[in-house]
Amino acid sequence: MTGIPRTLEAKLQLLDHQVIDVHGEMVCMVDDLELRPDRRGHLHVTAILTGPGALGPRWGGRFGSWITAVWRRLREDADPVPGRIAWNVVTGVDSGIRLNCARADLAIEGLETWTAAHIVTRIPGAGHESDA
Amino acid sequence: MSQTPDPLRLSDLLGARVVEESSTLGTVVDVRLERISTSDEIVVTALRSSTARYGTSLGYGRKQQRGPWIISRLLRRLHRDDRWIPWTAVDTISEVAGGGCVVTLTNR
Amino acid sequence: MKKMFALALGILTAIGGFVDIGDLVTNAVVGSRFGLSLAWVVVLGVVGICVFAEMSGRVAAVSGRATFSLVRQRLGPRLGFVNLCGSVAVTALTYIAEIGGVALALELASSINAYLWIPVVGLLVWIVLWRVKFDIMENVFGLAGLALVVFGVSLWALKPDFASLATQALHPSVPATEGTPTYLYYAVALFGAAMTPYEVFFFSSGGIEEKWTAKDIPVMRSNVFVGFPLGGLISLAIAATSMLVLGSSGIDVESLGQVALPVVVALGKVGLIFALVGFFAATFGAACETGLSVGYSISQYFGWQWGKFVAPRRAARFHVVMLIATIMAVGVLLTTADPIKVTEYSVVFSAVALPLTYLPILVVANDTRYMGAHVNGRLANVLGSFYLVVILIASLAAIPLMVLTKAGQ
Repeated sequence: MTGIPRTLEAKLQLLDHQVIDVHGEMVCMVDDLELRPDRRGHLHVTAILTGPGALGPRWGGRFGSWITAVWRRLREDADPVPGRIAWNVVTGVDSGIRLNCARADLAIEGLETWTAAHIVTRIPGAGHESDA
Repeated sequence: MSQTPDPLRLSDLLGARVVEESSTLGTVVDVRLERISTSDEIVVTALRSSTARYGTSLGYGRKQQRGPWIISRLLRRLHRDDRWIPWTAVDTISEVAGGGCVVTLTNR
Repeated sequence: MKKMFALALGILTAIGGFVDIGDLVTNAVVGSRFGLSLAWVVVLGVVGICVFAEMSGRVAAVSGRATFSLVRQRLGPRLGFVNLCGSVAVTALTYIAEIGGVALALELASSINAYLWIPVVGLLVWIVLWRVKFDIMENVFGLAGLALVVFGVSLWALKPDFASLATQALHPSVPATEGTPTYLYYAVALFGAAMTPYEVFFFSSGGIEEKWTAKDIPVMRSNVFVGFPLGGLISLAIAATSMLVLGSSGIDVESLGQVALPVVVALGKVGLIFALVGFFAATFGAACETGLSVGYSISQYFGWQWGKFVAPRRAARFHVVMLIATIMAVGVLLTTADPIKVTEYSVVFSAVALPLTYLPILVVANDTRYMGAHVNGRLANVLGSFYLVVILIASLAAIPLMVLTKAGQ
């Protein structure tokens, strides 16, 4: 267990880092962080944001707004929010960001779930690791 | 101190112009976070202001990032005027028309 | 036995990287047109890829992060994306060429038209990517690829004047029949092919597939320092035999059959069998390597689960990317695109991908937060910095030279 260091530099140590779940499986990239002010004016890191809804606005410019627009179009809800992982499930920060839960428990895997259901599991052998 | 009720995003702070007494010091290139006592909760404690926009994520702002000599020299020179501004010195964070934010420091 | 197999990843990476279909033909062309006057580029390229493959392997073993994950981390999403586009273009073009190359090798062996083989090969490669265990893949194709050593044996059997070969290689000069820009174009193309970025994507991701830790660094190093030089020697042997047999006859090398001709002249039918096995294994191995690398680089940029060490349904997006790449490759080849010509355009994309891939590797290998005691030493840094400069020069020169010489004609 690596733990969270006492001090962190957000861009250097969190942004664009791989997020890894409790079983060691890869979850997503840290595309942005959510910061929330408290009553005393401190800014708390409250969540990791991920996916096109986070990367589009960060990218900026015409390409960025195009990413965001396509992402909004593909979502069913009227005012969609980006993929969000609450900071309280983060247990470690090293070359990746480690969580104390499984990736299936996070509601952020739209494309993965869709491709798994519609394409991958329809091909024989999708349920096993590669073997001889 | 800013009292925006809506959550900010880290990317709103990164690249924001840092203004002190109506002169621009530079832009925010990184944000320091610190753990609150024994909890895993982290808060912003400082902003790194720089006149060079690029190269922060290569890591040469820290001594743990060693050579190679030529890259290290180049980037440390580029970022030689970087400074950490404590969060307590930040007066307001405001959005400007046309995107981007401005960080205004308190008058000392 | 286990130790011997431990070398297979390096050998597969090296043979796949050095003697894939583009290189087989390029080396034969270079041999027949320039003799050994470009041998120095192969040596320069071998040392360069050794330096960076070792670094990327060490970083993967110690930090658990593969190369493209670090590209995104250190260059950010925008510049990382520029690299992703360049790298995927190079790798996908090579993937197309390799599938075509396997079909050409099968056509040579069976006399059945290559176009009938293309869909079959596409399917076979995809089955390997989908289902076959990583170490079995690397052992089978790595070891079978060793059949290409037949080019070394042929060189010896042709009884050349080794002293004059050595003189030619050690005192390079532009042949009277070729222009200087053409010579330089081939130098840049050979260097780019030797340092092609998918070799480090595959090697570092392969290390994670095999769950390397810091303890595996010595084996990883022997992989690198045996595998890549062996690939380089095979390249040189192809160029030398091609020079001896084809250069004097005035034949222009245009097909895989002509690449095998020197072996037939030197060793007859038995030699041809070895050459064909080698062609098949090297191109098939390179097809697996490039197909996986397309999946690795895209997944690592976006942070998706990747790898053959989990069931495909747990890495669905990774497998869909490889499936799409395979269907596209077969589709492109069936439009009668020439698989050998396809790789020529990859030089353009390499110019973008090479510096943006090797810079982050060099930087992370110097980060003690990740590397601890395994951080780069002085030698790795001096060589790494030197090669970064060479890569920058080659990148800047690549496109003007390509335009100037109409891709080496």
